[in-house]
Amino acid sequence: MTGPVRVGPTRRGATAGLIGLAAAGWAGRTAAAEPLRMGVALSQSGNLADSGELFKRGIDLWREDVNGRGGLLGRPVDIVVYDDRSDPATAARLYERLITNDKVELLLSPWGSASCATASAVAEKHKRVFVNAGGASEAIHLRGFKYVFQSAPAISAYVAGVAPVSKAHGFKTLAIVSRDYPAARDMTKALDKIAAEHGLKIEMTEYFPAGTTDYSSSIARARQLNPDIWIGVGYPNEAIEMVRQFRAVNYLPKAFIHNGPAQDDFVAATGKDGEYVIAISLYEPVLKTEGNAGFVAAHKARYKSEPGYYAAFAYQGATVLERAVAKTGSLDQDKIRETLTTFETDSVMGHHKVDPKTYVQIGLKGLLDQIRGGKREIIWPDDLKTADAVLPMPAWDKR
Amino acid sequence: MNAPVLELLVGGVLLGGLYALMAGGLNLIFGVMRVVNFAHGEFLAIGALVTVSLVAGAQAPYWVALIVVPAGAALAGLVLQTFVIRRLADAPLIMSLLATYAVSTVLVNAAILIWGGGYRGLPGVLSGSVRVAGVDVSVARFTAFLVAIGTSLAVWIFLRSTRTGRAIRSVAQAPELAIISGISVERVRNITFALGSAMAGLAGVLMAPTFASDAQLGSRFLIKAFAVIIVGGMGSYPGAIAAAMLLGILEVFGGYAFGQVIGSALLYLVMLAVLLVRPRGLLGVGARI
Repeated sequence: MTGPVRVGPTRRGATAGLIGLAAAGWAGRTAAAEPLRMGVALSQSGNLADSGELFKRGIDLWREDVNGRGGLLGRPVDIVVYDDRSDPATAARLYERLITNDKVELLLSPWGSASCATASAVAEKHKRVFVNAGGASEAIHLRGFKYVFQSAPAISAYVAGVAPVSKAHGFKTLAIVSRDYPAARDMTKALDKIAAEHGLKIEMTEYFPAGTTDYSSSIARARQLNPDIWIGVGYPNEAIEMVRQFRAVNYLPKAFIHNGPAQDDFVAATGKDGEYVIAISLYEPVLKTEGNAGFVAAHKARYKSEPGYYAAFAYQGATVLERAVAKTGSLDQDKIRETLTTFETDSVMGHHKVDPKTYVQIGLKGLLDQIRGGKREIIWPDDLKTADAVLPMPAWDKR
Repeated sequence: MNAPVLELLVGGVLLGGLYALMAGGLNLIFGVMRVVNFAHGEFLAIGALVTVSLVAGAQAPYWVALIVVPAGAALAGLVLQTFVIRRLADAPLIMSLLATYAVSTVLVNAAILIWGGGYRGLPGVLSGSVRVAGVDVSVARFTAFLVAIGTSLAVWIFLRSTRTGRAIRSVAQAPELAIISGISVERVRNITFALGSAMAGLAGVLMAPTFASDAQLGSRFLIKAFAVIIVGGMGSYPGAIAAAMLLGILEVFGGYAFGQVIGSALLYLVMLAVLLVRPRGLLGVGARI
């Protein structure tokens, strides 16, 4: 097993000066303060390593910000990072270790619903507050846990735009093709409900195992059933490979909706073929949410790119925890828990609010974007719209 | 509703072509050297990433990557053989397995450092389809399929009809006799490892237009490539091709009939059945090539 990586107050490279200034800022006020140790296990290897790295950027930027503000409860924040190898069982073991061995004072959430599900169970067992920043699955919160709060948008927020967009463009039928993981099962439930309420018909529901690279069989079925919308949830490579394969076998649904295209990689990797695809986004750098302009600027300065929603998930979650702790004024887990049950705040992704019974996120709303001219334009909700949707997607040879 | 048999068949055969492409080099290296090369997938992934950098980044024509990447992979393979594999030549199989696993981990992380954690692609290269007998056939996958068959055939002919090829086979079948006959086992192993690595690089070049390339592209295929050579028979060329097609077809038809989760599981069930019933594989003849 790899040892913990300390992300302490000093860093190498171009950011050293910046951090140095920030460090100097709080050094005066908190010279004698012991660092407040927080722990996280996230995917630095395995199949979620790519998105896990983006998630970690959100945590790193938050840590710099909070230390720049003078730390938390007057103490500089130090983060202990482990690699869960994209394995939920390893995540559980590492949270056990963070709590019992490393004795960290606060926990940050891992990345991905599967690891969040196991890690949160460990936190609950030890009566430690766990703000779930990385798992959209609502199932995580339907186990009666008292210390687990969702700051990530719940999966039903992902697909809230499907009904209005279908209505606007006369779409009646859907095919659901998703990676087989908890978030997808939740999304199917949410879509079943939407379909029943809005008279849409779900023609097929398919799951594929992690590591799948071929969609021939699903495309063959969809070609026969001819659904208006092909919708799925999973990882960016899957969306890239789906579009590639659609193009390669000359298949085109009227709309292709997936969360993967919300990442910049999708646009670069698919080029013209990725145009008109609809991204389930949840976060865009252009949003006028609280603190977003600063977050985007810091991300650009540090990583030479705008943040996607993975980084925003992490930043939002850490900010919610920070403010709840600050409001509580202590590290007493029961008191922080009490605060979080009714806590509301605004951060980069929007308004944080949890359901008072399940602690599922109900404040954050989803966005639908369409890839146009290599950029993501918001097409839903109407009040945030930056472009009108072009649907059905134009034929492959008419672009 | 009738199943679109022809469409599924074409999809399955072309998928099999990709598996064959991936399994080719792995099979050659195992057949001759008894090395299960866990770093094979990383050679493929880095091959794909270099292809993207050359073609999408440096605007080089795609054919340049078809030459440069396999050549570079051969060279890297030679380095790996010289500094790592050669030193474990007489050690138990597990040693080279562990060593190549370590190399694979180093390469994945090196690739993440160089190319970052995201996904890259080659839009516009070998994209689109041609319509044959009412079925839309992917240009990229058909090309990969032809190259997989072509390379396997070329390697097979090379092993049968050239002096070096015969030397390689004799080392595979009876190393002691090969030494007595004056064959340089060292040289044969160098050539084999370089050739196998070049095949991984070539697979990377051909997969770059179809898949989202990242440092872990290879790991998404490696288990299936192992399944192919286990079912086909480790070291058997015609066996690997037949197994690749069989597994590709099974996965696509299984996925259509029972969903993709079961479709993929079928592939491993077949692998398990072969291991239990016929451990040397469908066409495996001991360890011959």
